[in-house]
Amino acid sequence: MDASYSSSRPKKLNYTSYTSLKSVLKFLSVKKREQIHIHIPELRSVNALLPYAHEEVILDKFEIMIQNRSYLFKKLAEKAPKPEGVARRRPEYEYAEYNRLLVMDLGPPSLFDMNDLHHLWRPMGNQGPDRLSFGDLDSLEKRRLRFRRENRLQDSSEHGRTGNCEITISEEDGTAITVTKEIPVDIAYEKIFDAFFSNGSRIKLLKVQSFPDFLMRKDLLTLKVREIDCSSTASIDILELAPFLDHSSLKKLTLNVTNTNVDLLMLPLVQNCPVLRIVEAGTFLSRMLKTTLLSALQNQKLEIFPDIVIIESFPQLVQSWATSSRPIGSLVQVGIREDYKEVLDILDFLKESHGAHPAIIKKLENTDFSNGLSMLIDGDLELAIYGGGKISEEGLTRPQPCKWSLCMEVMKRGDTIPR
Amino acid sequence: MFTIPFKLKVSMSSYFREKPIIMPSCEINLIFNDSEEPVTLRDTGIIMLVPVILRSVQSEFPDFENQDNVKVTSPLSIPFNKKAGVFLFEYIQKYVPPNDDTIHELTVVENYKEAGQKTLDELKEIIELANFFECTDFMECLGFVIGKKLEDKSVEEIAAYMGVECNAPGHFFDEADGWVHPPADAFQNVQ
Repeated sequence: MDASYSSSRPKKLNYTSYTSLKSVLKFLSVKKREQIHIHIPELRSVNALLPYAHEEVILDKFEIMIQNRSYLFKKLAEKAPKPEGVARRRPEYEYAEYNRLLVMDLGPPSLFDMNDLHHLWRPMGNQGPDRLSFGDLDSLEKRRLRFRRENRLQDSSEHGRTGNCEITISEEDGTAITVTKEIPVDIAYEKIFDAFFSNGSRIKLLKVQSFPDFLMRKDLLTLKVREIDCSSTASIDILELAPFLDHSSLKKLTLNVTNTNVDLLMLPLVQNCPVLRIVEAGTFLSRMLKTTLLSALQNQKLEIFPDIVIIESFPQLVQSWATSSRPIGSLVQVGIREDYKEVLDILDFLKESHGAHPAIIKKLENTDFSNGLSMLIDGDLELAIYGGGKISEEGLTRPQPCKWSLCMEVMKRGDTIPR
Repeated sequence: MFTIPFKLKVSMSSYFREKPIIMPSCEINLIFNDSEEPVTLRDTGIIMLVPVILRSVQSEFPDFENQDNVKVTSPLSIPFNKKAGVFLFEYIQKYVPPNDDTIHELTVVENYKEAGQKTLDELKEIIELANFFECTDFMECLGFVIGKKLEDKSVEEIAAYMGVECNAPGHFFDEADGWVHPPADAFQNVQ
């Protein structure tokens, strides 16, 4: 009896307890955890329990990049042949990503209709509706529910969802594999998404190039995203993303602000984010509108990469900050494209018209471009305005043509020395 | 003899704020796995951070916080090594566990330097002791350090360290349906 018991259950000298396993696995990288999932069957169940912690994720309409691996989804025509045996036949059409224009030149393949081809096309940027009007997240939720209802009706009209899709998985080292599945492309995308993201998944940097359709139908889960970059598109996608985000986790947000989406700046998600980076690549905003909106922002730090129009609005922004209470450390950094003389002109204007006086900013000890000014604010605060070098563009999708910067910061009195 | 049926989590700052003058003194003997002689633990702050020891003290002296010269008579047997215990008692008050806000800035060298200097086997002994003591926050700190050390190991070495078996190594895409495992699992229920 005792002998059979000991033989049936060999002793494991290096056994790790369940709670210790969880404490270690949650801090391993996604790549390492994938290898564990593949090669260590005994750890799969506990591995599946813990949400992943991703470094960088790039989200597109038909593609997702997770930890430098790309999943590209393509919808196949209904008549595509099934894979036969071990050797998998290629689809009857074949073209690479960079040959899309060639396809257009030669005319669409006979098995396509224009609708399918249009779906494969990667949008250059969403053209949001003019002057978005939304008061709060309630209207956003109503939009989502309406979208879900419409799609559910559409789904029920078809007798079960069928389709074929092709998925190309590309590794960082260039390794690539293509798989054909007899499921709709949206379902395939959703399955990949579900494999890597669950309630509580963390993402350090999320770049949104387009919002996938399946997410509009998806039940909400909470993602803890630290930084979001929506600057590749018209940034409307932040609206769709908001319900999936744990707002308290978001520390930095990059938006591309134009005439058509300027109301995004009023979103609570945008207002409450500590660092807001505004990249302006579209139509110019009117001066008054820009100043009003920028003055209304309560973010702890603003990084603005504008065209020349913002320079004309900067004195009004200074005035707005000087007359409202902002916490110490509040900071605006404006990128200057080419000519530093514009900064000098603004500083001169502030001296003559707003009572700013020259000052040395203590914390800019060795910065050569510290043409500093200071304005007294009620209480123990002062507003420091100074020129400087290039603003850090870490994490930006596209580099900005800004060589210098113009900064404004709320400081405690005494942090500047009159010059 | 009774046992408190729930974990009592005491905040050190809260404790000092409420009772700034009276400092209770408490002693409990611990017998570790590899030592015949008991070790006397006298630091009340540490006792309050370790739920298992705290319950042991409270079972004999329910009001020990308001008593002086408390000495627990029966020693507590601990099935782990003394060295692991000494490390835990020395750093449990110092180490701050990772959270969602700080996880991105944490490094072993800057935040958990002493744990980083331990070997993986030593760290395993310590984290299992922390598990026995129900010190979940300290387990998070050690898990972070162990995770960073395992990041450079192969999957076979990780399996050996965890005490589990590992499948034969193969190509990353060597799956029946040409699919890596996590998505393959996800597709199992698709009709």
